[in-house]
Amino acid sequence: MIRTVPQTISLSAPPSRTNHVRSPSDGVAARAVARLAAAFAASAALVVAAGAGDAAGATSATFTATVPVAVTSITVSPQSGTFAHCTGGSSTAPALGFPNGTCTMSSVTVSTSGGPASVDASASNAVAGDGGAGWTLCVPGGTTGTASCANTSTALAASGVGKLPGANQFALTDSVASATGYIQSTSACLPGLSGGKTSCAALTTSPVSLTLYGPQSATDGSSQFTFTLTFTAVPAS
Amino acid sequence: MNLTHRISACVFAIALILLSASAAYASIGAAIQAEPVQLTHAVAAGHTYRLSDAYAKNPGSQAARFQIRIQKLSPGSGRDVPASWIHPGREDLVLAPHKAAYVALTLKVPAGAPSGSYLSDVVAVAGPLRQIHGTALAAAAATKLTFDVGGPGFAIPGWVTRTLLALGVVALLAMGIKRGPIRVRLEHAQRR
Repeated sequence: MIRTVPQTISLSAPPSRTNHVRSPSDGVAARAVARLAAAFAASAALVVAAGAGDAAGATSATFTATVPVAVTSITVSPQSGTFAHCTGGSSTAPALGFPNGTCTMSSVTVSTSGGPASVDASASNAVAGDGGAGWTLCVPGGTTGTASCANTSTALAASGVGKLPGANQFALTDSVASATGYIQSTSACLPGLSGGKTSCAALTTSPVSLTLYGPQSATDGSSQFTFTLTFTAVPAS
Repeated sequence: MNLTHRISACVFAIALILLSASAAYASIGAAIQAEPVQLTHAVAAGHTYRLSDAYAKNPGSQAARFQIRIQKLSPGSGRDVPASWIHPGREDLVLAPHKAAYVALTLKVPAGAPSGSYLSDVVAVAGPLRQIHGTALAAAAATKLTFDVGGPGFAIPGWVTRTLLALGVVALLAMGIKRGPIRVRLEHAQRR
């Protein structure tokens, strides 16, 4: 005698970080749900087949799906560095001197992935290692949110390079693809990518050379100053 | 120094070299969903809305501390979104290499907010876990944030608008079938 055992197969998709979507009606969530549904449908036959073969009474199966999310990504290597190769003023090779010594860091690599993206850069003010008076980031002429470099030396001003940093100020430049420009406090297109005020070319991977222009003089005698340089990937529209 | 001590010293030296090499090539990274964070229906001043969660990922080789910020970086027209309007569910989070997380975003439109289209960016900023002496390099990735604020007194929910639109389309189709050039003739074949 052959007896047919009715089987009820339920499929459950436990919430997880890979498929948990809170707002199905908007943007990414809607696409993620659509992808999840497609993956669910494609896998359902396999799960049903597996369940049908289990005549012992298994009535549920766990379904887990990983939904890939398209991202705009950036990596910066290394994650920290030290300016060296210092020249000018009273500088020695590993240490910045006054007035207006310069140091370089040339081993930074910036890479983006996931779609065409331009890269903005910005820097913070420098904090003295002993908690004393820090240095303010400046650019020649100043911009919105960034101070104007204020070296009072007329000789430097007449040299055609623009005013260098004044007391307790410092400036940063980056070079990408042989183009050089000043880094500001607010995020702005890397000079090598800038095509004017409104356009910023996409970057895939590139070495970035950095040059630090030290202050004319410093109030604080700390031997170490720290600041953060941020590279931001902005998707091309 | 006996042989055991020499071997131990060699192993220690090699470990130091490997550690310094890995530190030199360590990378910090940030990733955020490419899909813009947007609301497909207009919002009303004085109301609060739940945006889709922001997906952030750490593509770097080191664990990093992530913060979600609102900042206009993308080119395009549209009013700036004040950072105070967007409230991330978490102030910051630590992500191990190649790990990701969703961060809830809430939009609070203040009363009296000017109507119009708004454009800004949701930015995932990855910084070092510990304070670094020297120059700390940080990575950040941005995705667009867009929504429209309706005019004064605007408070029609999006689903009402969509339902009314759908009803309108159905009504137009019905009128088209009835009056338009396309006529459907139904004939009943009688059985004998």
